[in-house]
Amino acid sequence: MAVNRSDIIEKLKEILVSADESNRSKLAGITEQSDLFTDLGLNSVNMLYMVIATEEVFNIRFDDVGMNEFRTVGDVASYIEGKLK
Amino acid sequence: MKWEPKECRFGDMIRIRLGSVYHFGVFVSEDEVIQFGLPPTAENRAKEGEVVVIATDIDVFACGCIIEVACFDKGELRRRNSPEKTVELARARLGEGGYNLIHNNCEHFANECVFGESRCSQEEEMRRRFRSRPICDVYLTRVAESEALGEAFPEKLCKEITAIKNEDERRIAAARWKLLQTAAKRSFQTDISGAGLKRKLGGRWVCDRFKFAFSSAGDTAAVAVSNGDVSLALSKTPFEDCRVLKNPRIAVQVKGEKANCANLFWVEGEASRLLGPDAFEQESSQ
Repeated sequence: MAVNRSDIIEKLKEILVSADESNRSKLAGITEQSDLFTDLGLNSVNMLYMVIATEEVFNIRFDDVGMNEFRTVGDVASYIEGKLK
Repeated sequence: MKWEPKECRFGDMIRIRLGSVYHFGVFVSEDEVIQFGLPPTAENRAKEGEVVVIATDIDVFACGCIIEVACFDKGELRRRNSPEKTVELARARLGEGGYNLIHNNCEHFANECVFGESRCSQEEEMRRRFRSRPICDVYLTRVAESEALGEAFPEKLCKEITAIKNEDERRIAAARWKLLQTAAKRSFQTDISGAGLKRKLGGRWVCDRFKFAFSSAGDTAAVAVSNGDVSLALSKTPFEDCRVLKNPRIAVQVKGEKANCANLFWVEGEASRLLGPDAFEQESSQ
């Protein structure tokens, strides 16, 4: 699947809204630097949902990484990008 | 499998609830509960080091929460390892790493010890929730100077489009179907050629994988795709129950079973951008 980084970020935004509807109002402000926890308020359940949704959408597996390694939207995008190469 | 707060016995599968997630372990005694990592409290999460299979006393496992014990039905009782075998398997894995929140967590570990199969109901439930989520996505684009359908579309449809005499109408029709191709891929992870597109008696095109509806206004074309019934209306002038997109100024109305969770995207070439409330007149003025 040929997906560029901006496509990944856009898809992640959609997943973040799906994980927590309150993120819809923050859409315009979501950037690669947005902190998943402090800016987007992800809790452990939303984080789990985001990871599983990402696996389903991009057809990848988060099988070689700890969730603590993801702090920002950009961190997740980089991991997806790496997996899709 | 049911869960009950009752006295733990040797070889039991046990769990505690922390917020919205559970932490699982294998009970050996009050002094020995074997689990994959410590319970995920804020304090424990802050601790450095690799997550490994450990044995703690019952108080460390429970961290003040109520302990629930797995109560198996007849089938599960037949399938489960004996308590002795369960404990033997759990002890043999002490010190083992490779923890992964999704694919190798405390519930996978407990299930492997008790049933010999790596499963996590929390992951399965979340995956089910995602797969059955309501989808209602609307894609809008500006119709290009020239639009043509690619090979992915049925020949019958291509002929239908080519037969449209009015050039503007032909362009808009082609743009709509191309938009559907983007929507199929983005919202349903499928190529249009694999979506089961077919023409019904009466000439209406339908698709096996999802429902869709087209609309256009001026040089803006749109398609709505959903896993429920959906209808779409676009207009250059606002009307009742519509949302007004700021740029281009287009009134959009999506109706249908899943319309309350509609996502609107603006498509330019290959890129789709999810539109936030600030892209619409109504929301921005609230």
